[in-house]
Amino acid sequence: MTRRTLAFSTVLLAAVLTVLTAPARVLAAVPAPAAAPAAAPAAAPAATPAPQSAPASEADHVPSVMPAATVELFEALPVQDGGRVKPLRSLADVTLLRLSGKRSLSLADGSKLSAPEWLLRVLLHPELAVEDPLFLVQDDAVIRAVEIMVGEHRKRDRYSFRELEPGLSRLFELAHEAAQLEERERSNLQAQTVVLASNVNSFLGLLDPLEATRALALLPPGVGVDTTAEWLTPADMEQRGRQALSVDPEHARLMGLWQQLKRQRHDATAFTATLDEFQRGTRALMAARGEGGQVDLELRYHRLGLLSHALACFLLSFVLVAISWLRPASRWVPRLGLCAAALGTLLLCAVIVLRCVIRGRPPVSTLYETVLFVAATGCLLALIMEWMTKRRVGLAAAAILGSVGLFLANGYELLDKQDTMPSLIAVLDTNFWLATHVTAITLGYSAGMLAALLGNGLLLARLLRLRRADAAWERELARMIYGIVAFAAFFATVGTILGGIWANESWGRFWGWDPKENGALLIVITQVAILHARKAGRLRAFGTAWAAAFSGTVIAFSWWGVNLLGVGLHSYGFTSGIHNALWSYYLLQWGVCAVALWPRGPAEATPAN
Amino acid sequence: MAERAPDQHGVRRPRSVGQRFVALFGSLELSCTLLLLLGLLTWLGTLAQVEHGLFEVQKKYFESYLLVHWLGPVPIPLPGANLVMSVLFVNLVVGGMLRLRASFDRNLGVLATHLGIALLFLSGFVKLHHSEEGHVTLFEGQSSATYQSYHRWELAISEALPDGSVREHLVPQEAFLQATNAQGVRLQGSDLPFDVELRYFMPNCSVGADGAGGVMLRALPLDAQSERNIAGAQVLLRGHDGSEHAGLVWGRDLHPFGARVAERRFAVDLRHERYPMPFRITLDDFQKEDHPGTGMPKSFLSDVRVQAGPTERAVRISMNEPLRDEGLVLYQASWGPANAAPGAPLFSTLAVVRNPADQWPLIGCIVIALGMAGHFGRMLWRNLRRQGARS
Amino acid sequence: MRRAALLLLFAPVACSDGEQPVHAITATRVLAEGDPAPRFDASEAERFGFTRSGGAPTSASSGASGAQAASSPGRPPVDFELPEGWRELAPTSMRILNFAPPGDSGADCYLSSLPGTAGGLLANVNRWRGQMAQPPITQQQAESLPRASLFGMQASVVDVRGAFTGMSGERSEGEQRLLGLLHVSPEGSLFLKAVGPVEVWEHEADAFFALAASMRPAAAPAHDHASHAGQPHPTDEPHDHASHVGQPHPGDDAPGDAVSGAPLAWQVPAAWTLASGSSMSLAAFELRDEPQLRVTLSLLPGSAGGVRANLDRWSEQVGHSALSDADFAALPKVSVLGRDAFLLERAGPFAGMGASAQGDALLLGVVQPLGAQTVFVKLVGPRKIAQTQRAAFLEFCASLKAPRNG
Repeated sequence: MTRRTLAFSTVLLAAVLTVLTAPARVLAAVPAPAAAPAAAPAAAPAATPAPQSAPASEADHVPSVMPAATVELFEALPVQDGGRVKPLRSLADVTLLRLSGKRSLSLADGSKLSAPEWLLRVLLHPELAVEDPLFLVQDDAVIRAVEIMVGEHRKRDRYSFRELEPGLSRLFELAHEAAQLEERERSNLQAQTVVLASNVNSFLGLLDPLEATRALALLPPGVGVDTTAEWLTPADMEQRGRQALSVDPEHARLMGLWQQLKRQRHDATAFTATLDEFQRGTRALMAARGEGGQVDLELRYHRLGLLSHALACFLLSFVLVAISWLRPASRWVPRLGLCAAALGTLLLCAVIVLRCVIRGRPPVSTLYETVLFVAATGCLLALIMEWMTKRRVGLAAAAILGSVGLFLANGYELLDKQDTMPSLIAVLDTNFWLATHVTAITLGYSAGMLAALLGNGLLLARLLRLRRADAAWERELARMIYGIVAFAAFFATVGTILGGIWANESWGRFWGWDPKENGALLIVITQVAILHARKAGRLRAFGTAWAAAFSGTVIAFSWWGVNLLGVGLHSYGFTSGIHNALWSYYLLQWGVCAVALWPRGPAEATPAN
Repeated sequence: MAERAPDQHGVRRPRSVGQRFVALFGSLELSCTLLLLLGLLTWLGTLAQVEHGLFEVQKKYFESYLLVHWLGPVPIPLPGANLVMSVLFVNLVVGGMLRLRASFDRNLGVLATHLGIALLFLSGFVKLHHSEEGHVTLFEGQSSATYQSYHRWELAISEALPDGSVREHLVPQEAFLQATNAQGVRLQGSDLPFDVELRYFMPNCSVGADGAGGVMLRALPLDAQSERNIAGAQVLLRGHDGSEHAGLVWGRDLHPFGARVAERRFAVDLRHERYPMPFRITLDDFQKEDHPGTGMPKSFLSDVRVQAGPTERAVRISMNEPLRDEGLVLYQASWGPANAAPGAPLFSTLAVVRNPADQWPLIGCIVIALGMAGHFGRMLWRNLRRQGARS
Repeated sequence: MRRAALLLLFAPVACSDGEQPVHAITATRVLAEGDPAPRFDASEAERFGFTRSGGAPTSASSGASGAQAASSPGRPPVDFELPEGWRELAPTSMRILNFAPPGDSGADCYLSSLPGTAGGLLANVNRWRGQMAQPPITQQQAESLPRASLFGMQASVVDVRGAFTGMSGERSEGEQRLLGLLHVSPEGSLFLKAVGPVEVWEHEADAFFALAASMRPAAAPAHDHASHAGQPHPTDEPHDHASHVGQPHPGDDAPGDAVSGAPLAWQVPAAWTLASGSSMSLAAFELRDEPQLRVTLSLLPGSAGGVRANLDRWSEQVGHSALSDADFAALPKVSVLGRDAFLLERAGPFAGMGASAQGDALLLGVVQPLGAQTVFVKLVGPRKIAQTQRAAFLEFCASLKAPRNG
């Protein structure tokens, strides 16, 4: 944490040093409240230019958005960020999401900017960008705490940099104190102070003059010239020049192009041409270093938006399945539903494969990816089940799992506000264990959640006294559940033990009763208990379904709940939104389980047996 | 439900003590009960970690035979995980293996699975009772032939011998953990010209000025993370010649408490317990590589030299790649100081573990995986065939 | 098992009647060769780290490794001389530099920066006074606070004693002292703040001010100079020339090193003093007693957008529009680095960042390409004062020499 924030402070210091003496003063160009042209006295000893000359009026007309082709070119620029080379689009998306809590920015005039358009605006027209309502403040207690006077705002609202500016020194001191506390011990206000301060910090980095920005590492080091793996920012280049270090001629040429950009901001054609030339240059350097091979693929990944298409497919499939319940006679509706679910699963699998190729990693290495993987493998399992049984149960399960999974993935991304393809910390930097332990455990989650879903299906069918839910149907469904629980138990057990072996290899102990380990153990215990109880004849159709449904909350605890405990080697960064979602699920599931146990009549007299 | 036949058979007509034993300890109901108990303990133990830390919880819930869990003001007595797992082990051996003798070929997979789990239990048992763990922390260029405990303390009384070497007299923590009052404990060594009185032992404390030009220990509440506690105590060396030397010992002092008694030089130190290693290890180089442009570590590794007698070899220890030698395993555990300025020298901490059952879980895992895959595969196949026949 | 055996062996002979338990020490061993022997004669202060003792393995002296530290990646671009016994700690997001004075008293000291005036001098001074439970002072009092040097710039000194109350409302024990330096300027503000027990800052106040004065922008790593191809050896230069070679860091005591690294040489007019260099400029100068006037000399790679574009930008900074062709053609020329360069001279309101600005400023600027690089010289200040320095500015421009290229 401290190491990462070091970058912020460097940016901040650089910003201050820059404005202290730099020849280029971006913010100096900010029109001092509209008075600048009028106040210019004709006192210059040399020729006094006419105040209303052509360039000035051109400057008054500021196009807020570049043409689409230019934006596309801009977002394709390779940049090193978070330890890897990515298209500028990825950086822009995450930055805007983090600062504003949304994927696009609504301006005061009602227009909307995409993330790359917004980034262009900050870089080219900082004097406008500082006025945009950008920073999301969840609770205006933070604003009161930094003692700034602002006009009318809602409790949860967005503030411009201009509005926050007078309170910055207080904000940063407050944030520093709060940052001394462990994350778990911070009050809501303190946590938000830290978030706001670090957001303002990132924005300050972008506010540097374009020619000397420290926020964007756009220049790959030359091959053979630089041994460093770190890409250079325009500010690094300037510093090299200042310190009279040797500058690669190609770097000098690229810097020249980059420096032209700001001058050309009013001329889209020239701007585009310069940007194109700059991009060709950096890409050639990048290619020579053998880096950034997946930049274009990542850009395509963002532009395709496969996940939203997949979600649409699953939702369509769900609607069709629902119709087929109302009209059981129809043959085409369920077939169409099956096609939609299959297509959705296919798209989802394509997303996972794309991400594997882009990252050069096995399918699961972050919490976000567990959601995608669980949804994908759960749908695949359900579809296989459908193929084996043809009861439309698997189809319904696939539609529901897919829709819920993708909603969760989207919600997680919005809450987390981080790059979903981050670099991995040292202990995770091992494709062997990621491919074996993590994949196996996640398959365990996936099958377990499918079993829980089917279990709930049986419970609900019984609760709602559906006609189709006769004893034979229940028995068959329970057999399916049992099979899936066995499948889940296999992967959960093997995955858990593999995790222990990994821990033994990297930390020196097989088992440490760490929360994440305990969570995995709880899943294994629950599933193994279900298998044994069924074998002992203690769980029949209803009992199996009930236990499987309940085990869903055990999986949720292990998958998400332990991360909220905030202790142990496995804690990920987290947000409170997940806490609420998780408890909603717990309560709903326990509610269903409790209601299902309620004696309902002679037919369902002994549910546990 | 053909598989249930032997069970029902056994329950209905127990004939001998052996069969009764098998019926009781081999029953699936017992398995389920134990599993649910273990699940409950695991869950409670996980939640309790938030407040009490891993070390305490591990002792209370997982390495115990009996415990009392407080649900608010309500005490709930529970069997400890150690007890539950011991009974589960018996249940596993009796039920999972003995009972299944009858249909050996059909239950080969189940048998293998239970065998593998039993091996896991065994390795856990061996680890609990026969392993030692600690760490060795070195700056570049430093070397050590001992490693030290994370949790246990010892009092070391060093004497500078005339030939320039140093002899240590060691007192394990059991001797003074209870010496928390003014009375304390008297430590006597036949070879020492004094007795040591150790008083006011504090399991966690800090050092501060006493306002009169000296220093004093200030007791702190126990930290949930046991390795963060720093013990301290007052010591009084009562020389047999009548002299007295009083001082403080503290777990994180920079130097020990020194005294000259009967013309001999001594130093008393309260420190984490040290264990000798069968070799000497020297840190030549510690490298921490970050992802470019970030402070996020990509890898850390320690280049060390291992000297055992006259032989010496260079080894690289990195994350996920430990050093295994002479029954000890050394892992790259951490580094520091965490608040070091960029470019300042860093130290490397290597975790040291002696565990005879080190590689057993791997074997267990393979056996279990094969067993479960075989068993469930057979069931799936049977099911598919039945379904094929039906349609 | 071993521990259990030990337990039995050494179990204290506990006496039920309340007598002192006795324990017999039996385990002994002789330290192996190569194991560090303990110190037998450490004083209490040395043992508990209350004095400057080099014995602690964790308190590596950063001062000695300063040069090495400065070149490591991720380090803020600041050089400084660490006072004896002080430790440099890792920076945090809000603190560019973080220090701990000797001892274990919890006292700390840090440098932070903010763009703009950060609310102004008075507000910041009073905020700090408030933290020490001291009443606020007036604007006049704030302006007449004593000054000291921070980062080569004038900074106001805050020195108050009292009970320190942090933002979170926690009061520290004992009487505390807050020492602070504030350089507040529309162009960006720097703060160096130290808080801790009175005794500590009684001792370390001088070190605090020395630290502040020693801060400067980071120098180029030495090895880069050495490896620079075509570098003339310093002794190749005439002696009097070398002695006037401009140097961003007069405090840099690496012999010969910085001299050989300077790409430009110049003569400083008598009235000017060296101000802080910055990450962006080769050198900066101020007029004595007139910090509002500032001359900067920068050398940037490439064309930096071209001569005219830069003149346009400067022109816009003082409220004029960009130069028309006629304006451009009419610009007077001065000789810089052996060739003619355009001299831009514009008066107008100079808008700094934040609210305050110089209402009536004069800007003098020269841009001259130098090989693959571009030299910028710029003077900005209140018009009346700036006009008195016009001749000095031209003299300065004329004195520029490029030893390497010329």
